[in-house]
Amino acid sequence: MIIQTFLFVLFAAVFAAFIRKQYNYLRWTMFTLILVFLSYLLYSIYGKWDYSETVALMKIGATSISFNIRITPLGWFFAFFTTLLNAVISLFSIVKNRDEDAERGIAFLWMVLSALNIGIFLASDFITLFIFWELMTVVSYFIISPGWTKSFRSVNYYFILSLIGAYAMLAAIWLLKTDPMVSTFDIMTSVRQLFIMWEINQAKAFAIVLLFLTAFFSKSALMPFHIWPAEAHAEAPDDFSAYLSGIMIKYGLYGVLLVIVPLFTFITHFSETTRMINGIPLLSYLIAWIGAITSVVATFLAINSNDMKRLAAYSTVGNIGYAVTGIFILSSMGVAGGIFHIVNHAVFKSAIFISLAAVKFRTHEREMHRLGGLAYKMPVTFMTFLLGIIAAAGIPPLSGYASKWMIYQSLLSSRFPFLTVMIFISSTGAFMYLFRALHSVFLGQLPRKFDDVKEVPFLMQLPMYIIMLVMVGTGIAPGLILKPINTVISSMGLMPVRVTFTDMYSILSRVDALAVFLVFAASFGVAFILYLIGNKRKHVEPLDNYTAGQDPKEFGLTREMYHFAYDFYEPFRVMFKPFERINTSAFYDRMERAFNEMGRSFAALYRFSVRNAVLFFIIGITAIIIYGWLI
Amino acid sequence: MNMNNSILLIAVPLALAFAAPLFSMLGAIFNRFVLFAGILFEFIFAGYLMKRVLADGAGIAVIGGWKPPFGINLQISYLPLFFLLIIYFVMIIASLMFAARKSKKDDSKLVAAFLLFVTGMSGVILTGDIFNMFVFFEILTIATIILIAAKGKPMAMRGAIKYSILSSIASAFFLLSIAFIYGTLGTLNIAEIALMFPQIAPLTATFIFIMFFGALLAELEMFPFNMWAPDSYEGSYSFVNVLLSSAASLTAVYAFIRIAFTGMGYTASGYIRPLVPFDGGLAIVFIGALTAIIGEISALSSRNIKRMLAFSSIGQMGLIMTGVGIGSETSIGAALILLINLALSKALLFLSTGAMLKGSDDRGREALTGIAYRDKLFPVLFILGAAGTVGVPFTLGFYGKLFIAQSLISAGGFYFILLLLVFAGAVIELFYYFRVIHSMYIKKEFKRELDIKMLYYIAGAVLVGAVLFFIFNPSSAGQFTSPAVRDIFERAEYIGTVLGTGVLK
Repeated sequence: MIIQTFLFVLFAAVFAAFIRKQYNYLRWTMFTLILVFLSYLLYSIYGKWDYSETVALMKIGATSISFNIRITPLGWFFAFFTTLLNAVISLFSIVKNRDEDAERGIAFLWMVLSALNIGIFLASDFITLFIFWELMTVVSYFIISPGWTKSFRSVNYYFILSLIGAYAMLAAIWLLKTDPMVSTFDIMTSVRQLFIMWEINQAKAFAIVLLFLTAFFSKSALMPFHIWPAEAHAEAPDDFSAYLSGIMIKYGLYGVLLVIVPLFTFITHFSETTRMINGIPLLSYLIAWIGAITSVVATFLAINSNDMKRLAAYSTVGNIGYAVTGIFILSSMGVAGGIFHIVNHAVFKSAIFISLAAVKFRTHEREMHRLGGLAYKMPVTFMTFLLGIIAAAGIPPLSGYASKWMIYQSLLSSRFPFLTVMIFISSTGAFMYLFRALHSVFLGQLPRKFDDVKEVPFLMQLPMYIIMLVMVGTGIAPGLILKPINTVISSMGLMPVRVTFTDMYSILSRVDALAVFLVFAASFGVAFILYLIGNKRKHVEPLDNYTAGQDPKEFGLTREMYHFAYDFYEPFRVMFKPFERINTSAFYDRMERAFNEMGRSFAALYRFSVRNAVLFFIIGITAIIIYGWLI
Repeated sequence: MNMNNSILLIAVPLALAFAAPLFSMLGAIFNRFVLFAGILFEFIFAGYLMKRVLADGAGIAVIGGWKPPFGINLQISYLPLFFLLIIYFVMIIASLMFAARKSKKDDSKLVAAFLLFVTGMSGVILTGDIFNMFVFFEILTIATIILIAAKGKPMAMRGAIKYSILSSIASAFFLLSIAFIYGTLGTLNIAEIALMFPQIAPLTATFIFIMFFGALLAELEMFPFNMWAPDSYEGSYSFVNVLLSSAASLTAVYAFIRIAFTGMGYTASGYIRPLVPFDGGLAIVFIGALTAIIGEISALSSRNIKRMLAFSSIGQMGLIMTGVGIGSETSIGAALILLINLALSKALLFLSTGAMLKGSDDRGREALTGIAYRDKLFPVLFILGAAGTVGVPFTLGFYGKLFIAQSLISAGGFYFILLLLVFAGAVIELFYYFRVIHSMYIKKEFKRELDIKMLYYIAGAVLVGAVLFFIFNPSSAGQFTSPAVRDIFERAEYIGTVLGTGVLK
C-alpha cells in the first residue's frame, strides 16, 4: 500500500509537470491536496507497528538487495509530523509561485521529495534508507537551484557535503553487512549485532559508527559541516527554505536516533569494556560537546550576519546543536527533549522562514538594513515572526520553552554543568540575533520605498495562522507532542518521561505550562487594561520619536538614515574578531581549488603530443613489470 | 553441438564492407540502409543463437572441418552472445545516428569502416583462437582509426595518430605474448592454453601476462595507457563516440576476461584470478581504481563537453576493471551490470550532446545554457544518461556501484583504500554532471538554431525504452548477468565444449 502510494505521488508529480503555466495555482493546489492525503494516510496507519512491505530488487552472487518498508513508532512520528508541516508550508506556495518562472520543475521535484521524505522515515533496512537518502540529495539539488546562476555555488556546498555523507553511509553499511557477525540489512537487528561487534572488535565498530556519524552530521550540518545551511537555505526558493530548514535538515538527527542512540543505549547498559563518563560512553559525551560547540559557533555566526535568511539558517544550525546535545546525554529526558526540540524547531523555523518569505514576496529584499518598520504594514506576518522568535528564544508561553527546559533539566540532572553553560551561552546569543532580526525587519524606520507595501494575500496568511495556533497550542499543552514522543522513546528502550497534557516533571522540578501561560496572559491583560484606562494617546510618527521632536527635514535626514540596522552588533563583532581567521568555508574553497588544480594538471597530460603518449605507455608498462618482478 | 552458421556473424559484415563502394553507386540512402540492415541482421541472428544456446547449451563452430585444437573454432556460449547483443544494440543506435547525418562524399568509406569495425568486433568476441583474436583486433583497430579520423579536423587527426601509434605498440605486445605462448605451449587455442597454462614456468607466466595485459590496457582506456582517448572522442563524430565508448571498450573487456580468466586463470574460494606468481588481481584493481579517480578528476576540469564525457568513460572503465579485477562472483556480476549501464547511458549521453551541440562552435557548458527551454526532450535524455552513469538509485549504475563497493570491502585490507578512491571519483562525477544539467536549465535566451533529425528521436526513444526497462525490472539485469558470470567461472565447461568432454576425463 505504501509503495503504491509512492508510485501514485510520482505519477501525480509527472502529471503536475505538464500543467500549463497559466494554471499554476492548480498545480500547487494539487500539491497541497496530495500532502493532505498523505497525512491522512499516515494518520490512518498509526499503531500498525511492524506492518511491512517488501519488493525484491536485485540479486548478484550471494547478496540480494530488496526494498523494505516498515512502520515503526519513531519513523511514523517523523513521517507524520513532517508531512503535516509540509502541507501547511505548501499552502503558502500556492500564491507565492503563481507568477514564478521555475515553478514547474520545483513543483515536480518537491512532490517527489515529499514522497522520498516519507520513504526515509519508513525505510526498515539500510539499503532502502540509502536509496531514499541519495535520491533526496539528488532531487533537492534542482529545487535549491532551479536554473539560477546565483545559487549555483551555494547548492554545490550542500551537494558535495551531502554526497560525502551519503558515500560514508554506504561504506558504513557495507562494512557492517560484510562482517560475519552481521546477518542482515535490517536496521534494528543489525544495530543489535553492531553492539556485539563493539564488544568484540571495537576498532571496526568504532569506524562504522564514525562513518555513520559523518553521514548524519553532514546532513544535519554539525561541525565541521555547519556552513552549508547558510549558503543553501539562504539561496533556495523562499518557500522551500522553510522545508529545508524545518524538515530536511532533521534527516541526520533521525538517522542518529535510528542507529546511533540505540547502540549507545546498549553500550551504556550492557558494555563492560567501554570507557564511561558520568554514566554515558566517552564517544557520546564528545558528540554532545560537538553539538554544544556547534550551537555556540552557529549563534556567533548568526549574530554577525546581515542577510535575514542566512541569519535564520545559522539559527537552525544552532538549534540542531541543542537537540544533539540533549539527545547524546542518552537519558530519557534528554532524548525526549531533543526530539521535542526537533519538532518545535520544525514548527517555529517554518514560521520564521514563511514570514521572511512573505516579506521578500512584497519587498524583494533580503539584506536586513534595507528593510524596517514593516510591523504596521504587515501585521499578520509580524505576529508570526514575533511568535516564531519567542518560541525560538525559549520564552515561556510558547513551545520552544518546554523543549529547552527539558534539555536543561536533562543536562543538569545528569551532571553536565559545562555543557549547560555552553547551551546557556548560545541561548543568550539567540536572543541577540533574534531581536536584531525583529528590529531590523519589522521595527524601526520604514524606508520610503516601502510606503505602499501591503499585507500578503489571505491564502498566504492561512499557513501563518495555523502555525501560530500550533506554536501557542503546544506551548500551553506540551503533552500533545510529548505523549507521542513517549511512545517513540519507549520503543527505543528508554523510560518514558513523566508528563501530563500541561505538566512536565523532571527529577529537579515541575512546570505547569498552562499556569505559565495564564500568568503571562494575565499580565498582558493587566497591561491592556492599563492601556485602556490611561490618558488619551496621540499618534506620533516613528521618525519624530527618533529626532526628539525636531523637524528631520531641517537636517536633511531621511527615514532610511535613522534605521540603525547595518552592522548592528559591531562592538560584538570587533570583540570576537580574532576568531574570524578560523573560516570553514575558506577551507572548503581551498579544497575545491586544490581539486580543480589537480584535475587541470592531470587533464594537461592528455594534451601532450604523441611522443609523450608513448612515453607514458612505456612508463606504465615498466611500472607493471617492476611490480610483477618484485613481488 | 555444431553451430557453424554462426560464422555469418563475421562473414556478413565483412562481405557488406567490401561491397560498400558498389552500393554507393546505387545512391547514398541505399548505403545507409545496408549498414542499418546489416547490423539489424547481426542483432537478430545473435538473438537467435542466444535462444539456441539457452535451449540446447553452448556449442562451437568448427571452420573447415579442422577440429580444435588444430583448427580455428568459434565459441557460441552465453558470455560472448551476451556481449554481442549489448554491442549490436548500441550499434543499431550508432547506425541510426550515422544515417541522420548529411550525405557526404566519404559515406561509402565510412560505411565500409563501420562494417569492418563490426567484423573485427564480432571476430574478437566469437573466436576461440588467440592468434585469430589478434587478427580481428587488428581489423578493429584499423577500422577505429579510420572512423576517428573521418571528421578531418586537426583534433581528429591528432586523436587518430595517437590511437594508431599506441595501438600498434599494444599489438606488438599482444603478438609477443602470443609468440611466447606458442613457443612454450605449442598451441594457440584458448581452451588448450587454459588446460596447459599451469605447466608454464612462473617467470614466463608473468611475462606473458604482463605483455598481454599491456596490449589490452590501451583499448581498455586504463591510465596511463589511455592518452589517445580524450583527443579521439573530442575530434570524432558522435556516432563514432558511441562506438568507441560503448562497443570498443566492451570488446576489450571481453577479450581481457576471455584470456586472463579463461586462458590463464584459476578459481579458488569463490575468486577467479590470473595464474601468475604475483597478485594479478590486485594489479588490475589498483590500475582500475587509479583510472577511475584520474578520469573523473580530469573530467572535472574539462571545458569541452565531449572531452568531459570521454574522461567520464575512462572513469567508468576504471570502475568496471576494478570489478573485474577483484574477481569474486559479486564483483564480476557488478562489472557486467556496469557494462550494460555504460553501453546504454553513454550512448544516451553522446546522442543527446551530439544533437544539442550540432552547429555550435563553442563546445563548452556555455553552449548549452538555457537549451532546456528550447528543446524539452534532449536535456531529459542527457539527464537519464547522466543518472545512469553516476548511479542515481534505481538505475543500473547504482546497483553496479553498490556491489562493487561491497566486493571491495569484503576483499578487505588494501582494497578499502581503493574504495575511497572510487567513492571520491563518484562524488566528483556527480558534481560535474549536475553542473552541466544545471546550466541547461539556466534561464537565459538560447540563440542558436537547433536542427535535430527525426532519426535522433527514434534512436533516443529506443535507448530510453531500454533504460526504463531496467529501471522498472532491476532484477532482470541480475538474471541476464548471472549465467554470464557462471560462464566465466566454469572454466572446465569452456574447455569441455571446445575440446570435447573426453579430453577432460
